Parts: sequence; C-alpha cells; structure tokens
Amino acid sequence: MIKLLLPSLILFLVSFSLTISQAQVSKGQWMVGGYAYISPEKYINIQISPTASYMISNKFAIGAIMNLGFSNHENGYSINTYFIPTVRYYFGKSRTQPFLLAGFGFSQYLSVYKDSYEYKFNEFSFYAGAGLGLSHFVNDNIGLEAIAGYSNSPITIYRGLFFNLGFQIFLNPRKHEE
Amino acid sequence: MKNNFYRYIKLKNLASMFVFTVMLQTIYTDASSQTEKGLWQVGGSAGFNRDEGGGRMSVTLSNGYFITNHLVAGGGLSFSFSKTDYSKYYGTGFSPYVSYYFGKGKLQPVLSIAAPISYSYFKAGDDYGGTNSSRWDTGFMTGGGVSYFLNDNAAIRGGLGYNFSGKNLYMTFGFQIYLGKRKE
Repeated sequence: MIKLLLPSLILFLVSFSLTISQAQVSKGQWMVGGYAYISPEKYINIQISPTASYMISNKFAIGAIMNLGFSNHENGYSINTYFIPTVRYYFGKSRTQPFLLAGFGFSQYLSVYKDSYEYKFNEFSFYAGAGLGLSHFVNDNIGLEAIAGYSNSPITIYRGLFFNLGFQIFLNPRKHEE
Repeated sequence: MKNNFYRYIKLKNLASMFVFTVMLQTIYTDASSQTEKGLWQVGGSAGFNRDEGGGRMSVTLSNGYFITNHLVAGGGLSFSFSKTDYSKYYGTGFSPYVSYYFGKGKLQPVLSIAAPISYSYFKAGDDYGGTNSSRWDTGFMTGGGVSYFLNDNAAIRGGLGYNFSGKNLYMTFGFQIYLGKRKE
C-alpha cells in the first residue's frame, strides 16, 4: 500500500514540471469545494458545508464558506450554522500565485438539552479573519493551496493562528467554449 | 377497455425505455473515458492551528490508483493531535479502499468498499481527573453512488453508504480529484 501512497508526492513534483498550460486564475472561473454528510438514523446527523468563489476579474474573487449542521441525541439537539462571505485577491500571472484572503461573517449555535430540567444555549457571533495564501496550479483545474492567517472563525481549522494545506478545484468555462 | 389497457402498458414501457436509454446515453456517450488506467485519485489536507488554551494539528491523505479503466484501489491515511487545557487527544487511522466506476461518460455510477482501522488516545487534564483511555477500532464500509465529472480532473460525487461496524446508514456528497496523464 505504501507503493500506492508514496507516488502522490512524486506525482505532484513531476506534474509541476510537466504541465505547460497557462494555468492561472482568470475572470469567470469558479472555485468550489465542500462536503455534505447525512446520517438519517435514530439520532440524525446532518452536516452540509459547501464553499464557492467566483472570479469577478482576473485577480479578484468573491465567495462564501457556509455550514448547516443539525444533530440530535437522546436528550436534545443542536444546530450549528455559519455564513462567511470571503474575498480573495491574486497577485501575478504565473502557475504559482500568491493571494490575500479575508472573510467576515456570522454564526448561530443553538443547543438544547432536556432532562429533569431544560437547558438551552443560544449564541450568535460575528467572525472575521484574514490570511496570506499561495496557490500552485497542478493543471488547469486543480490548485494545491497553502494558507496562513488569523481568525476567530467557528471553523476549527481556521481558528486562532492557522496554517492549512489542501486542494482547490477550479471550474474553467474557457474549456467548455473550445 | 382491454386494448386501452395494453396501449397504456405499452406507452408506459416506451416511456420507461426512453428514460432508460437517455440514462444509458448519459453514462456511456462520451468520446473520452473519464476514468482511465494509470490515473490517480487524490485528496488530502493538512491543518495546524493555535488559539487560546490549545492547538490542533491534522493531516489526511487519500490516494488511489486506477489499476484498470474502471477499478481504483488505494488508501487513506489520517493523523490528528489536539491539546487543550482540559484534554489531550491523539488519533491515527488507515483506510484501504476499492472503487469501481461503471461506464465512461460524464456521469458514472460507483461502488466502493473500505476497511478502516484506527487508533485513538485520550487523556483528561490533571484538573479533570487525569484519566486516560485508548482504543483500536476496525470497520467495514460499503457504498454506492454517482460521480459527475465537472472536467477531466474533478467530479462531484454523491452516494449512500453503510458502516457495518457502527451499523449506520449515511449519505455523502463531495468532490473528488483525478490527476495524471490521459491518453488522447
């Protein structure tokens, strides 16, 4: 299995040097991501977390990170939602592009616990965060992205001082016009 | 009456056949194959953060290789660590999987099986009793769904799964990334 896992790193390095297309951000592109998980059992668990951004110019993207979460248990339930509009500004034109990222939004967390007494926790909060990122295009559609920043975000991985590494999917309408 | 009934049945059959044909065409009619032998199915993220009272680190990697044009085999690795004022947590897991993609169009049904194994360790802070516990978990999951290819490198995937160890049914939607050189 190591044979299967190790080549990913090699593949990235090779693809860095092999890809010759003009892979960079451009007006009209969408950046998408996120996931949804629904478990409709005795105790329901629903987590829906889409993210999307749209390039309104060759440098500037607007988007949002959002979440809708619901789960219940024997003695109650909790609802966790947040909506954080984001902006990104890209520098340069090469296959490795730095960018600035900022977001400002709100979250609502409600937790209800019923036993011999009823306990209710309801909190509304504002959130803000900013960071510096670096996106490397593996090809026209996929970017490998690193972001470092600071935020009081409700999303654990972006809370406090943070550093994240991951993939970003780009949907490029130029490809479909060809 | 009887004739009308048969006509209705036949119309219904025709309608079903039409829908079925359109479905098959959607699945099969596409010049290029979306999943090809030699491609990699990749995913992963790494995160580190530090805020008041603690910090976290997590790494997940998922990598699969298309052994044939339809069959991908791979594994996922995860590692996470967190420390707060009241607890310390460490967890790691490995999940080998096999998926089979049907057809070769933009829309492809997928069947998957996975057998995750994981280890976790938890220790409560000294002010909270200081007790610790650790456990091994093994599981077996099977699922089926549909992948819709947004382009050569990304697909949106939705499906139903069943976790035999947790005995729970779940539904997931997410994105999947494909890398590697395709034969033109």
